[in-house]
Formats: sequence, structure tokens, C-alpha cells
Amino acid sequence: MKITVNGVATAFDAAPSVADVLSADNIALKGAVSVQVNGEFVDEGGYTETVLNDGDELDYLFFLGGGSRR
Amino acid sequence: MEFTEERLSRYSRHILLKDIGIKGQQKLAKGRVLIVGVGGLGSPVALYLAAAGVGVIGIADADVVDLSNLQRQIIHFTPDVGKPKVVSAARKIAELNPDVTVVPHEEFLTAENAAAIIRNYDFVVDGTDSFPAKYLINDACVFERKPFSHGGILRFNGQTMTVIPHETACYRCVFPTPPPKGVVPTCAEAGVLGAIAGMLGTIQAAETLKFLTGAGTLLTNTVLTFDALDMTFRKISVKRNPRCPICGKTPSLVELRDEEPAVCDFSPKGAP
Ligand SMILES: [Zn+2]
Repeated sequence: MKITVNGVATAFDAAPSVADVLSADNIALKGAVSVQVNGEFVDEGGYTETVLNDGDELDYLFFLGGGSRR
Repeated sequence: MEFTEERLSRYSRHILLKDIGIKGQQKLAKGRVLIVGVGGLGSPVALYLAAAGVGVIGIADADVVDLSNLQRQIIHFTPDVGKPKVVSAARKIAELNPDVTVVPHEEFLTAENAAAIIRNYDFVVDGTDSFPAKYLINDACVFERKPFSHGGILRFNGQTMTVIPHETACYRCVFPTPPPKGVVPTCAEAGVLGAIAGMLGTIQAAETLKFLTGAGTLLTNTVLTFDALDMTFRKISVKRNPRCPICGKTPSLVELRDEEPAVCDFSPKGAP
């Protein structure tokens, strides 16, 4: 099955959870990203129970600080 | 503002633009913009807004120019090391464009002073490098209903979104709470390519000028993120989050407070 992860079609053997998709992209630390599935935010508490279907789109965004020193 | 020959000449390339013209240039002259942090992002923002003839530019920063700033904070020059950033920036703005009034706020934004400072402006630019400051700007702008541009940079990456509070997604809609300690490094810890600050800062400056003149479509409900290593730009649509702690259906944040500064001492695997 194919999931579009950050705009890139990605193949998975079985229906992955949000947590599976993140770990496939080596995102080990919780709280480092904001996740949307098909345009809806998924809270961190729901990463394991939210299972994706073929054709779903998952987008994740990293926190970025940066700018002026303080 | 009266358009003398000199001003017609200074702003001629703006006036030629059908989306700006004399009317847009007048709007810029009436515009009041607060830049929070005149560092990597705030430097190009301040320079481009000054060059564009934005009437009042407020700069809030309590920092002093450090030698390590000069790699990217292009409003500050070598002889400015040791001077307050607001003093250094104000001088460059005055030299660049005497039409601009600079309001220096030689202080960091805090839960106590943020609302009172922000209230004097039409638009706010987040040029800060700490999550507590970014959340404070978001929260103060949401409470004051003040449109703002969020921006963040790290290593070779940049990310920005324009927020019209209570109309479009805010920073907390996307990132409800600051990252846990140690999860996200800052530029001081992980480094940043100097030009990245220019790339993102000029996007924020362009958004500010679009907001003031009404030109085009703002980067609202959209996060623009780029990776300069391969020059990929991506726009991610977001929308207001009903569970947002500040602009959602049942907000848990009802007054301004300072978020605890996170201690970030390592870089996460898979981080940008
Ligand atoms: Zn929100």
C-alpha cells in the first residue's frame, strides 16, 4: 500500500500507524513534529492508534527555532 | 505622505508595480511594523522594510552585537560589536531611509510588556530564536488580534507562516505546546547557514509588505518550509485546530504567560 508522506508516495507492506511512518523516517523523539493525516491534526497521544489507509496523506512538520539570539 | 520628486524616484520600482503603485506606497508609509529580535531574521526584515519606506519600524531586542552574530545578522557590522542591537539597527535604518521612524524597544518581550508593545503596531514579525519567545509572540498576537509572521530557521532549513489571529491557523494550532526539553536544538547549538536567515527573512519581509499593501495572497493557513541543501520548497496546508489551546473551541490559555525555556543540548535523530 502507498501512503503519501510529506508529498512523496511511500510503500508500506501493511497498514502503518502514524508512529510507524514516523519511525520509518527515523523520527525517534516524540514531540519533535506536528502531524496531519489528510489535513487533520493528530495529537501525539494518537500516533499509535491512528492507522493509515492506502492513499492517505501524512504530513509532518518539524519545530524550527532560530532567528535572533536570546 | 507627500510624494516629492525624490520620493517618486526612491520608490519608483514599487510605484511601477500594479499591485502597489502610489496607493500601496502610501499604505507602506502609514504602516507600523514591530520586529521582535533584530538578529538573523530581523536584520533582512528591517533592511527591506526600511528600504520599502514602511513608516514606523519598531525593533524589540535587549541583546548586544556579538562577533558570532555577523555571519548572518547583516544589519550589524564589525564596528558594532558590543553595541546594543537596537542602536546598531536604528542607525542603519536611518542611513538607508530617512523617511522611516524607528522606535527602539531595548528590552526582550515578556508576558508583562508584550501586549502593550504589540498594541502600537499593525503587524508583527517574529525574528526570535527561542521557543518561549515564539510562543509568547503567538499568544500576545492572538490576544491582541494582531497579524504576524512566524519564522524559524535551523541548519539549512527555514519555515514560515503568516497568521491572522482568529481567522487563520496560529502557531499553536500547528504546534500546540513547545517541544520537550532536548528534542529541538537552536541555531546556537546546531548552527545555521547565514544565507538561510536571508532567505527566510526576506520571505517574512515580503509577507509584511503584502499585508500592508493588500497585494496578493498571504501565507496564511499554509506553512512554507524549505531545505536549502537541495533547494526544495514545500507548502503545507494547515487549518485552525479546534483543539488549539489558544484559538480553539475551548482554549486553556486565557492570559499571557512565559513558557519555560527548554534546555536543548543534543540534536535529535531525523531532525531537519
Ligand atoms: Zn490556534
